[in-house]
Amino acid sequence: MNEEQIYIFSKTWFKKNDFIILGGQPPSGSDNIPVIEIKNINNLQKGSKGSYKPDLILQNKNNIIIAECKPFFNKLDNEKLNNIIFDDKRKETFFIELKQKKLFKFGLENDLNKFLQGLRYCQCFFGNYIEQEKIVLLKILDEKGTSELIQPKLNNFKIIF
Amino acid sequence: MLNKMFSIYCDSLIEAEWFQNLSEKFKDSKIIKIKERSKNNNVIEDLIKYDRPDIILTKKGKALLVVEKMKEVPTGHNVGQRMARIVRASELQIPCIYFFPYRARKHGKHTSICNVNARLFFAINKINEIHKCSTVAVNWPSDTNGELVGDEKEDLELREIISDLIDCSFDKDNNIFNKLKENNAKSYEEAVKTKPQYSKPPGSVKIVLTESILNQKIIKKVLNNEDVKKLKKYKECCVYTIEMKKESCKRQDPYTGTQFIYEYSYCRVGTKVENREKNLILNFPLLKKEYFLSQNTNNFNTKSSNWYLIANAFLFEDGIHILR
Repeated sequence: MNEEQIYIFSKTWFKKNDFIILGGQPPSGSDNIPVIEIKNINNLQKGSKGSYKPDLILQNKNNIIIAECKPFFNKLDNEKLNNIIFDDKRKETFFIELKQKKLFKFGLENDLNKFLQGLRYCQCFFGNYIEQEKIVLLKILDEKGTSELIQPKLNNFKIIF
Repeated sequence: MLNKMFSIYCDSLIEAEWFQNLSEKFKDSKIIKIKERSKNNNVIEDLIKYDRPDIILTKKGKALLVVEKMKEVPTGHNVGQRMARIVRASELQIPCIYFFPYRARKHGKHTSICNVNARLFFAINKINEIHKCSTVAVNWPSDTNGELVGDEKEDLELREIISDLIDCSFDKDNNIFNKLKENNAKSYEEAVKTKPQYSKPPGSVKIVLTESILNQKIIKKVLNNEDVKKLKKYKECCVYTIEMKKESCKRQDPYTGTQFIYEYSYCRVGTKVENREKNLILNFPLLKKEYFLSQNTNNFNTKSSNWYLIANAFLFEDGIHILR
């Protein structure tokens, strides 16, 4: 399975489960959704250097999810997401970016604390994986896009449906 | 079962999935990735001869529609980048839809709302006139802040167009296309009212007498009678100046696409490359002839052959190369 398929299957799964797609950047080609940059806090004024563009950003009534898609469980994606988890300032710049682009749904644009509490992280992939404490896993099982969601161990990192 | 006969050839599965979702009738269509040159069937090979379009829709082995999709407003450097694909579809009489925002915000440090360069509409109109084909631009809408609509409402017009096209078996002479062509013509007229400079060539293009080129000292020295005769066939030249530097001259985009805008806007009068009223001269003032030619060979298997498609000559810092 390739990265494009994982991206398409993940998007379809989230849509079926009542998520709204706020933005993202597909692995190739162009999608109709806005590209969102989570800027590097040390480089806010100087273009895109060091910024991170998640593959998908999704929202339901309870959570906003940053999702990364790869054909296999990918350690670099895992690091990327963990870097955001431990960086409150970057989360704040992410909030500002979504607010400026008027992408929030359900009135979240006025509540930074609620945004931070509801922020979740997800890796989408095919094949084997390492169970996570803080990162949700969406495992694509076959070429039809059948998928299985694996919640992380820690309760306050689980997606609420 | 009829639906299964549609095949969607694509460069990216993501774009194919987007296109497939534009109509229920594409639901069971086959999605096939376009392979590298010389590894596809003849219909696809013919269409990708100059460049690879985003989507080629086929049915029973016949190409029905080419779709080009772009998220950026065609402005500045990017105006003509995709023209080679569009021209190829027109040459082969395949209708083409070019879906892009006419107006949208460009992000970055100096963010602002940009409008499409209207010369694109003018060139598309000329391509349609000359090839008697149907290439049409369709607007990807943006909101009042210039942000692109991205909640599937952006596809509403396209969905309607595709539905109508399916009903008329993608007939290039159908009224749908005529209506869209009229809309494109209106978009051009409106843009020119606001920015009259769009009715003239841009700064990088000059229309000059052929004689004035031939009178340049360096040109006089190197041209033989046969070459002079070739250039003199047309009284005027459209000179497109491309300021590529030595370090970055092994490239095609956006220039080999943009050359088609100037070819059709100012030179071409018929379907064949020899049907013209002006020479098209690609001018490389910062490059030496031998170096450029060594870096951009006329090899059919690479896109660098696009440099050789339509120009009559290349002009260099140290000479000229006559192509036709």
